[in-house]
Amino acid sequence: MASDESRLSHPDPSRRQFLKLGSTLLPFSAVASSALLSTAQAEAPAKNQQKTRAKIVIIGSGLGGLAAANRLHRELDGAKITIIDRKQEHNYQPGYTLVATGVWPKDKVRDRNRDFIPSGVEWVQEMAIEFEPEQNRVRTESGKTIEYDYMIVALGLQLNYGAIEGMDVKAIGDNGLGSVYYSPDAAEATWKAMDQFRQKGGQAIMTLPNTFLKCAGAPLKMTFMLDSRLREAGSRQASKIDFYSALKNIFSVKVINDEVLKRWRGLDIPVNFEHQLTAIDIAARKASFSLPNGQIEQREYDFIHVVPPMSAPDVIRQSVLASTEGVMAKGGWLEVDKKTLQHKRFPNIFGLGDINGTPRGKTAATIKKSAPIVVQNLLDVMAGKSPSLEFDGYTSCPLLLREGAALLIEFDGDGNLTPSLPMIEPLQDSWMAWLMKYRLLKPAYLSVLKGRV
Amino acid sequence: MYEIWLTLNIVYELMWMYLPAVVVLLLVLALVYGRALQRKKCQWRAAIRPTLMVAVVVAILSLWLVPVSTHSTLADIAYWVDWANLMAICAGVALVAAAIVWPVFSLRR
Repeated sequence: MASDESRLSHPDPSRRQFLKLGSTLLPFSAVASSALLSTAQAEAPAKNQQKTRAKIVIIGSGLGGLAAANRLHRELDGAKITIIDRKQEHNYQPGYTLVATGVWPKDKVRDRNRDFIPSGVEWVQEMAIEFEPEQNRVRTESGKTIEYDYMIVALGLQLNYGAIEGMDVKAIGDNGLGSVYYSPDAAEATWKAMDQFRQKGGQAIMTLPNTFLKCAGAPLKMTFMLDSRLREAGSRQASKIDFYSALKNIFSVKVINDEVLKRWRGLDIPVNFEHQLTAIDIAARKASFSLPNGQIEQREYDFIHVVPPMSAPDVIRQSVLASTEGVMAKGGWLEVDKKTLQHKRFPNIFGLGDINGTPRGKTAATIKKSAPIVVQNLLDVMAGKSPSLEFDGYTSCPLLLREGAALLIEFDGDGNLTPSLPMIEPLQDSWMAWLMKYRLLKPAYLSVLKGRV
Repeated sequence: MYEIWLTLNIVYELMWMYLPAVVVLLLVLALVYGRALQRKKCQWRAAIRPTLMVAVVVAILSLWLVPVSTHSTLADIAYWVDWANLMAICAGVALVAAAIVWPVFSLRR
């Protein structure tokens, strides 16, 4: 059975091609033309719906699952579309960093899944616990067997807090313990801990594990925002912020990695590389890090931000759908072709979002770009053709620097910067990037979720 | 074209998020234009000058208010893209203000 952690993890949202919208076009074109967009236009069915009797199962009701469901519902006439996911609440996860740094109330990241599932799409409110792709069927936790002709796996990922000895997610918010990823409540509790810490200052520890992450920019955002909050409170001088990365870098795109490290040197935030958080004593406020030579280093702290190791949910990891070799096998990520996002061994299965064993891009921006590709490629396969569209691995990250400023970073699967608007410098502090994160990305997210963009 | 479509969708979602404000604005517009259009002798041309003055004042105030309303300050606007967008947003706010006050001024005798 999938763990609670996996249920709470869904493709992270927030980002940047959304952003592309804004930088220059939004103010000029939006207001004047908004009246033209009627509800009827926004939700109009496709003109040439493909007739089919196919049974399509979508695993997961996060951004990816719902975006796919809405698109397929619009594109297909007669298909039986079923979403399998127990989760009732829909969380706008790109907003977690805003909640965890005191910018947003947590209500802004809470919605209901039922409000986004199109009528006519069946919703099985259970978790999938077993996949039998050779027989084209899925078993759910109540023992129900659901057969399919085609399947989209959009299950998100799993936060493995259990891999950190002594870690207790219920303690987030107390004893200087923060962790932005777990839930809206945890994000709010993280702000509570950060707010208490900044009153007096002290020793802060920020962590980064050695696994693929959703929203890999979040640990960096939390660090920038902590520094900013301490300065606002006048307690930065009385504080020390140390960043502990389990890797040899802090971000996989070199130009961004170098830029952030340069900024952190200016802000007096030293980085300890190849330090993996392995244990934590919450009551005593002590964190233990393992080093490559096997040594364990213990550090005391007043505030810590814990980023858990992440993997594919156990239900995928332990199934035949998981990658069997290479770097993706370790996390049990879905074995998909990185361009077509079609499963490499089961051509009637596609992957969407964080679950995919693709090099980069576990963000909402990735889903925004890849959901239309997955749906079109699935339609191609249903029509007996080969997948026609290729995904370039696009993702983006509005990297918060402080209230009022962010960097608008976009890159592809090879780590090349791919700014949507070439005149905008990705490494330039920008209020517009902040404004997008603060006010424009959620509506963009909802548009993706409803399958319109 | 994609960016325009995306922008339209964002505005559409924003309108739903701020529906009460949008409804109030539309009601106010309907009220003032309805009143003005009922009146036979409206001074539309004479109302342009005070309307422009109000629009300019609103635009200048917006330069400060828009950042403040987004957890920012004017000091955060340092990049030309930011200035371009801020000025465009302020122009939009001024346009709305002008749309409201123009019929009101036109009703003056």
